[in-house]
Amino acid sequence: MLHLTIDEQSIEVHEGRTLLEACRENGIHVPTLCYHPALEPYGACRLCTVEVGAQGRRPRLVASCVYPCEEGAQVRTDTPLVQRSRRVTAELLLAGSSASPEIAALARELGVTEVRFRLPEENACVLCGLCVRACNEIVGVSAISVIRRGIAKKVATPFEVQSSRCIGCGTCVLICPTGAFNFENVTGFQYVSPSESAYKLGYYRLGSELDLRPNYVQDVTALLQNPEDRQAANE
Amino acid sequence: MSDEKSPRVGVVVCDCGGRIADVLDTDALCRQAGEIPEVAYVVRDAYPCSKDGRERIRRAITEQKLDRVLIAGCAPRLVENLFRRALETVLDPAYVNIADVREQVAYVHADDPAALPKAGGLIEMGVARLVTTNPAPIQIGQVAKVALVIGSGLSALTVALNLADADLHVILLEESSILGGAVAGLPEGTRRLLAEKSEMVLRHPMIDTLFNARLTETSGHPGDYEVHVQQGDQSVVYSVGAIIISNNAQPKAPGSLHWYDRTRVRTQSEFEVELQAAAASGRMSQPKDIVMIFCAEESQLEHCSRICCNTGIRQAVRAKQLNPDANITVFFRDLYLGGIGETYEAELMEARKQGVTFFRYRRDQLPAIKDKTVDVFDTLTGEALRVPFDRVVLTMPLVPPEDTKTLAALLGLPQDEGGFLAEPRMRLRPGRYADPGIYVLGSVHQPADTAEALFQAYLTGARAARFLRQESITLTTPIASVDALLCTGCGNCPQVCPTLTIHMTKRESVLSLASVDAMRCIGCGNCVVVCPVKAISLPGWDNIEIPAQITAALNAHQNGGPKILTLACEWSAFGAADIAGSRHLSYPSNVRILRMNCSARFDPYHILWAFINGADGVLLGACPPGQCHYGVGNLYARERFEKLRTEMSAHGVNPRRLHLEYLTVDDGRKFAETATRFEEEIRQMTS
Repeated sequence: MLHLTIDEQSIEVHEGRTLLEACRENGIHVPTLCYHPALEPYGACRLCTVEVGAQGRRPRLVASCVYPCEEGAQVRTDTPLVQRSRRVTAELLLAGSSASPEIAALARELGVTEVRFRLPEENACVLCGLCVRACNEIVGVSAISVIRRGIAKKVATPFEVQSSRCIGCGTCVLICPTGAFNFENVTGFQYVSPSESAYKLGYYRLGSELDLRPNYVQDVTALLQNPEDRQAANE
Repeated sequence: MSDEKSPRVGVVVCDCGGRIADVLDTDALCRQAGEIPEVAYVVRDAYPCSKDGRERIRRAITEQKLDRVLIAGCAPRLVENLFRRALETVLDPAYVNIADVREQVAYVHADDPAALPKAGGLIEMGVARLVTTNPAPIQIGQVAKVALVIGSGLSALTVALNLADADLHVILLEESSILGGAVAGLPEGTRRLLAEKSEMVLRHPMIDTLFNARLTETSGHPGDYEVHVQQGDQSVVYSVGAIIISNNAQPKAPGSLHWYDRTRVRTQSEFEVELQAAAASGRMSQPKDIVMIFCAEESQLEHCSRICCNTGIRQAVRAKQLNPDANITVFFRDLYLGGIGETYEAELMEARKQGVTFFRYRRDQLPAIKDKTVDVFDTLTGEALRVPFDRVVLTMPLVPPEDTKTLAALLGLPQDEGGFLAEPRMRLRPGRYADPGIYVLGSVHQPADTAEALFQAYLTGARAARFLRQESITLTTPIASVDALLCTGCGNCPQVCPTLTIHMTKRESVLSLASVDAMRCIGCGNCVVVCPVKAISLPGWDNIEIPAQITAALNAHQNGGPKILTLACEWSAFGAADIAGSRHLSYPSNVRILRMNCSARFDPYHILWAFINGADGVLLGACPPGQCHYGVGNLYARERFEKLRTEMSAHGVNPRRLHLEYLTVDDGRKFAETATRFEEEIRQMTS
């Protein structure tokens, strides 16, 4: 067990937990975007920054989702420095993705209303990496990855051709906070009819033999009526 | 249901750090959950998915002696595996269930007073599933350390040698009596390579080569196939772990579209023989006017043969070297000069430099071979050309080997438009992602040049060796099983199985009985639906738990409006509903969504059960045609849906109360719109 102080609160945590986990465990709210409990932390969005100081050290900003708890650490989650850092981050996020309900809620929570920046694209990908990590860690398929560097960085399939690894589960779309994920670029439309002829053959042969009516019920109409109607009809 | 005592269910209600708790009163939700008779323990947690949260659930299971756990939280797609993995030491994965109260309630019904009852309803559905479900038995399959290689082309020989060198037994099937197939028309380098490899294969102690042999029957599953090989007039049975299909594509037989006489008009491979003979003698004075027609007769086909442009251009260069006075004209439609790690553009440049003339023709104006000239319409100048010839070389497209269709039928592999074996798509095998024991390579898959064939062979060799070296294969996905006491042997189920997994066997040598090869079952549930006596069960999607969930969904108190049940395939409509949630696209709160594995499992009985239990409308959500993860489950669903609607109208029930919608997994907007429209329609119908 490690002992640390978060916002003047003395806290005990298991070894190996991150600051964010310690905060959440103790009901201290820290905004996050790229963090997901089912995934390895990534430290991309910097919304979860907190101030960490220790004896004899100057306080500094760290991303709490990846920063491990240390014995005797002094953590503050609500200083003006932290607030300013988070607000600028939220403003930058909002500039590209104002239509996203999740990001709008985050910005509202941090008190960001005006955006000083403009991006050419609406609903842009913010490179939080959730989709890539979900595909790798939750689905176990790794159909997508982050390619290129700098401003050209983006999420794509290898060589940007539709992936044959993709199983089309849609986890990437579901986890995307901005709605920027283009599913068609990944999975494409793989029209396949592996045995349509066999299906026709088998089904039609079967179709004539198969009676859909439950064999323990003689009259479907009666069954589908409301119970009261049925009672009335019986009387 | 096999448990004597009633199960103790624990319910964990997640606050999601406020995302759920700000919309739903989670304390009230806990109280509602506590009123369900089977629920023994209810707890509220801010973050049950955190490391400590999972630890708390595990502790609660042991302390409270729970044997089922329901977590009311977010989309199962995201956290189901997380919880199942975290709790697997104390609870079977089937006994951990997620009720999606975030994406399906908190995010979409924020200001709706019916949100809380709906969340309670989802918990009731989840509990109903937990108390009726049975865990899927774990299947363990053996792996025979033998590989069957069909064909003896370059890729087949290479992969056979690779596996044999890795100390795996290889059985090589060759249809003819020599290895390598038709080698006459191949370039010299390839022929030398083939000869070397053939020699090595014949000498290798780990390789059994069967000549004049072909595959007549296969059964079994990855790791343990039983193959019947017909050799001469005797049939031998082998047990193999993997089947590698690598027989060669053949050039199409000429003559159906162009004039072909084998002397003045020859095919590319016949010209190769001629060139090699000329090269041996060092000179070629005849023929002088050579016309090459690329993509000859290709217009009848839809695929590119990928190697003939390269070969043709190389031949042109060689002919020019042997006879610098020769006039070589090439008619092409499109040039494909790609190859692994290189392109053949340098050869094209060389040919141009040597004075080979290129004309492009259009598909609808094919070159016509006349008595002394070839007439063509040049698309670049827009002029009709007349080129004299004394040799025409037809580049015949490669077509799949003759027995491809038989092989495809035997092994249940899909064929593409050109008749080649298509790769089994990942999306068709959701449980397992790919049939691991069958490999397709070389030109039976698509025409490949030497480098590509070798590359594929080494790759396949490595993959197959890794597969064959496994001790055993373990499967935990749900699979169908037949109750022998109930089965009447009607023979319905084998006909609808997408993986041809079910076979009829003899019982006491008289009555037939269906049996499922568990290792190949993908768990779509199609057989469960067609079984007239319901002798087949599929853990997790069984005939007990689905009606139980339907009853729970419809019994839960609703907000006055019509009761709508949605059967949602988890690969399409259920995912779309979750995405509608994550985008906060609202739809009526009296729509209850039941997660199904595939639309093939939409059982007419279950739909009728829903109507009997008071559903006003039933919405079915399936994958669009051609995109079903289990083959053609959605087509079966459509047939059953249409039949059931006819049946309903015949009995005086409004067939519009049942609706089928095709949805893709990313289309949350369409789901929200469909649900809203359907609810409106039903509302008008019932009012």
